[in-house]
Amino acid sequence: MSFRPFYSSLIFLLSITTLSAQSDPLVDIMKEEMNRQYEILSKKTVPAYFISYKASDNHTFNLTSSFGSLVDVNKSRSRSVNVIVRVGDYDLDNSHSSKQGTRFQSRYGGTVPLPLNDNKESIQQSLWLASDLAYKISSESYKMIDKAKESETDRADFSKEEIVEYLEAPISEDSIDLLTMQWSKKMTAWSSSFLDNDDIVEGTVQMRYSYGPQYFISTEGTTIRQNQANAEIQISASIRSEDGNIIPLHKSYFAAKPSDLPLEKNISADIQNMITKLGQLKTAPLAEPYAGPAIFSGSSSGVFFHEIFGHRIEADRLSKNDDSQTFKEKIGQRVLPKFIDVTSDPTLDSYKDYYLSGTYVYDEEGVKSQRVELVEDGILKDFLRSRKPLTKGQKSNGHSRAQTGLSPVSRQSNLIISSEKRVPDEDLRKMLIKACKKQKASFGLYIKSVAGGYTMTDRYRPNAFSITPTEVYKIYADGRPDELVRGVDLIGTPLTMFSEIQATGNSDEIFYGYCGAESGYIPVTATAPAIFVRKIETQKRLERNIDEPILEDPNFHIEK
Amino acid sequence: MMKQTILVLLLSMSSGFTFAQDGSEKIILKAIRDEIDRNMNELQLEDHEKPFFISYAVTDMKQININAMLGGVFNSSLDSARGWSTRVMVGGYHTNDENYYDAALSINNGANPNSRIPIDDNYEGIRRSLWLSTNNIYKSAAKLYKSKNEMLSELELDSLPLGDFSREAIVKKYDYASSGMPDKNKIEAQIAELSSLFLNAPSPIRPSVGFHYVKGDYYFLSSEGMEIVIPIELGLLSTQMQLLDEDQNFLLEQYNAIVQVDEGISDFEQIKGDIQKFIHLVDTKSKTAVFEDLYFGPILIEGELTIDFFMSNLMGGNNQTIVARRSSLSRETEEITKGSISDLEKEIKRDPRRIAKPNLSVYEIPHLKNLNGIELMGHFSMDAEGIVPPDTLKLIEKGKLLTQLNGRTPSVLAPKSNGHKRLNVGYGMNAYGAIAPGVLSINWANPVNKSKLKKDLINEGSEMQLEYVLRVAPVNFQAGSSSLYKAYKVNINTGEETEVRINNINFTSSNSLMRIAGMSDQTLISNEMYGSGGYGASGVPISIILPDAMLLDGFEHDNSRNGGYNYSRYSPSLPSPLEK
Repeated sequence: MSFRPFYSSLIFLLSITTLSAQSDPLVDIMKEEMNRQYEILSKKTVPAYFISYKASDNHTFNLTSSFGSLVDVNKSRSRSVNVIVRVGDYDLDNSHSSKQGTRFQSRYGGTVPLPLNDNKESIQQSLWLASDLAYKISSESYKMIDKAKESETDRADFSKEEIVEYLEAPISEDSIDLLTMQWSKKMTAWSSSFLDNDDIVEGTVQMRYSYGPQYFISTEGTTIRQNQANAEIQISASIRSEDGNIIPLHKSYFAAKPSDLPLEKNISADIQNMITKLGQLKTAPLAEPYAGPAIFSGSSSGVFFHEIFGHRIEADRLSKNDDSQTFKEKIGQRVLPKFIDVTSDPTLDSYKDYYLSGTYVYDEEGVKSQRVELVEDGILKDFLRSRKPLTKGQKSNGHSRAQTGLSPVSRQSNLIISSEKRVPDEDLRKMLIKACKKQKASFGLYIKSVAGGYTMTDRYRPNAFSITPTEVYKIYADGRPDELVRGVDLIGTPLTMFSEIQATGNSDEIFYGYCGAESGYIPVTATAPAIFVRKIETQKRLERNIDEPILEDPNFHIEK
Repeated sequence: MMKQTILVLLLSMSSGFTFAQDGSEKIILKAIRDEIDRNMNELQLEDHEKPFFISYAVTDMKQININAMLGGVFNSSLDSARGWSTRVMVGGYHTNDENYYDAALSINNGANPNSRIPIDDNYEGIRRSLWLSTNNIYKSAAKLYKSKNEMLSELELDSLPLGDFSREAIVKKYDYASSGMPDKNKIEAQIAELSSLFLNAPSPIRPSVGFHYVKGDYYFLSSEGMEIVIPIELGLLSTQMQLLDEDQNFLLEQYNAIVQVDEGISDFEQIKGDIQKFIHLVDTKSKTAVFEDLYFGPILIEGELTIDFFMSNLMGGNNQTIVARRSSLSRETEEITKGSISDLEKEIKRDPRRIAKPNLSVYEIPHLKNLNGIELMGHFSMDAEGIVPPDTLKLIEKGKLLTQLNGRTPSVLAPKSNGHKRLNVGYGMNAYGAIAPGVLSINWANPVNKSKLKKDLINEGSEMQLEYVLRVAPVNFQAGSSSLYKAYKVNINTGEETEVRINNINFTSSNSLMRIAGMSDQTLISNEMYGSGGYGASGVPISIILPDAMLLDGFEHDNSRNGGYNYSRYSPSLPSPLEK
């Protein structure tokens, strides 16, 4: 495919990787309409200098089984486009943030549905309305900027990046009928295991598979068509404790496609373990608020770093004056213990045999994904950057991400925490017990698994985080057996917490999740070793209760 | 008020084959029966009464949804789903937990996020879903009933003046939907073709064509032994077109059609012709001068707009309607509760209330299937609770409201069910009972011809010293109907008519029925959807037989920019790529 520059007069470097010479009608129609729009909008009183279309073609397949029954089978396909129109110029445009605050920017921008077939008139109409809306929003924002004052700022609003032409061959569509046949039997069998325990109130197995091409074209001349594909099995179960409290456990498996998901026997075994664990949690005591030492398993530690560190090195947020900007001025300074390195690497599709779901070739602004060394020897080296520079001359490092239909900002991908101070698990335990004794605490906590967490980074609210553990043990200093407890929420503030990390374990674990922020939900991973933290704080979790049914499950009446 | 949507729900009562997997109906029926038996026999909360009534309504349906714009297909899906609802009552027919509210009690409506009814024919799974919802609803019902009895004791009453649930004859009837679904690909091509007709419109903005089809079975079983299965088939085509007029004001209009479906849309050519006409008329309307006056005076309403008038004023939300509504008695202080009961007693003893001029009478004739060769789609022989309606119900006679359409929850004017809790089919494949008419016959004593009505219109205006009066008439289509109508200023002196553009005309007011000054001697027969609230909404098919024109001696409409006219301006920064 030949490169054809649009109406931009700027000269960029061009990188061409054409993996499929096959013509794509959607790309052709979008380019034609983009050219037409740019021709008009670039000549307006408030001129557009950049237009991009980010189109998504999403095929999704959902299959849900609950207590041995199939409760949902759903196949759908949708296409949409997110249009960004920038007015002004690279140095000062409508996205400009000033000390007076950020101009209004709709997170939805100009997003509209696209037809499933390549019908030219219909696509043109959709693009027209989306661009018209995007231009109106951008030009109104731009008009509000005090140009004389803001032109003195020492950084551009939008970085100039390499022009790319990259076209991957489309993924062939799996037969949904075949998928339904293959998976429905397995899933109903898995979820029927939850029928064996009368106190289990939720026993669901869900399989989701989404795939399809993602497009990015811009007036700079970039044309990208890359595939996204994610398959996931999620097991969710809850048990009612004797006091009516609902206790949930979750387990997820991720892969690029359904056939790469774990073997049946492994999932069956995990479900049995989950049922056993739920049985133990049913009678486990409620934990009291606590301050003291703790060990986080590798997957829990991954969530810990994602929430309290990862969200604070996403550069777009740091440019806002209402953000707490925890690390904005800390490049070259120690932010984590000396033995910790942190990397973000969206270029890897696996790490130490773990599939990585936060992987992509090009980001949502058409920039090649890059491995970024964020922390070396505890020293902050870099941020996760989009095309919105934090300092003069800065370029993107390919971390602009968004959920379909939303405008992108800099986000995490695959966060990898490594350590030079690794000790065997037993030693971490010894360190914990020693710390308990020193702090005159009778026990420390072992956070074995977590469901997720959240953090606040703005200045309106306390700059705190919360993590939701699902499996927590008390490790007694006097050698008593470990005790499973429930109802724990981990809370804290980031800087204090970083200074309390003392050592890490020998092996790594991964946490898979969908991270939600300004640009919606995106798949991310966090791989980390277990960590020993000198002091954490927990609070009681909000209780969710369900009364015990008067009659027992009708299935117990049936002679099987 | 203009129609937003017209849908059709074909409740064919003929027997057919089961729609779902072979044996689905047996499994669903057995699961429901077994769970009713178990719960009636065993369900009891300590210190509370057992349930006296349990019913389950289960829907087993498939649906096709297609949306297109300018030839592009945006959505095309075929889905299956099952839904269910549960009713549990504690107490007895005269006094039970319903129609009562106690703010001190925490009420569970039965929703259980962890319990979805299986879509495979899993007997145990279906029972599990019913079990959990029954448990939750029973607990609330038992507590409410206990509270209600405590309240009655405090007030030293044995019972309330109006019962809570009517006792009715038991019916068993099983009719299943025919097997098979239409050819989705064929319909998709038809919808795409219809949507591409809008390419002929001058600069249309997101003109859409939507198709919604649902087919399946509705099961209703109760602990009294009532067992009915009703087939459901619903087809809707809805289109929407927006234009900007010369003043950059949005003009939004809809065309909707009842869809007969076999393999594809059977009356496709008629609908195609209608849409071409619709596009032309919307364009013409966008060029018609906007009526910007504040008007108070007589109005002549013609054709289907008379139906809008009666649907708004007879079946609206106030008490003077033909649709029964029962308010709950709330447990308040002794004085307030006594006051509420006293009001109810007075209402029961009250003579029939006049709501219209003596010329107006309204009858419900639900079993009438055809009239003058036109199929009455609202006809039905049994409601969603299994009750057979009477042949004729005199709702309004000589302007007085005698009774109301009702189900089994007694109301002042309808203490027994008259079989009008009809099946309302929702867009999301849920179906539930809703009080609605079937076939309504609206009659006016001493009708006159249309020319006489027009003369009377002008005379009324002349007496009020107006310069002009208003006449509104619908635009007729072959297969469907639209939000389009024509409005005319009629010169008092010359009778000359000038077409004007009036948007959002609204006939609803508290005294509208009293303002009817005359009706025509010609009959209009129409099938409508009752309870629909716009595109994608649910509803019940009804038929209305009524005079095809009416004169109101007083009508108020503010069409000024600050009044009723819906001005919404948009000025595109970019010319449309389709601009001709």
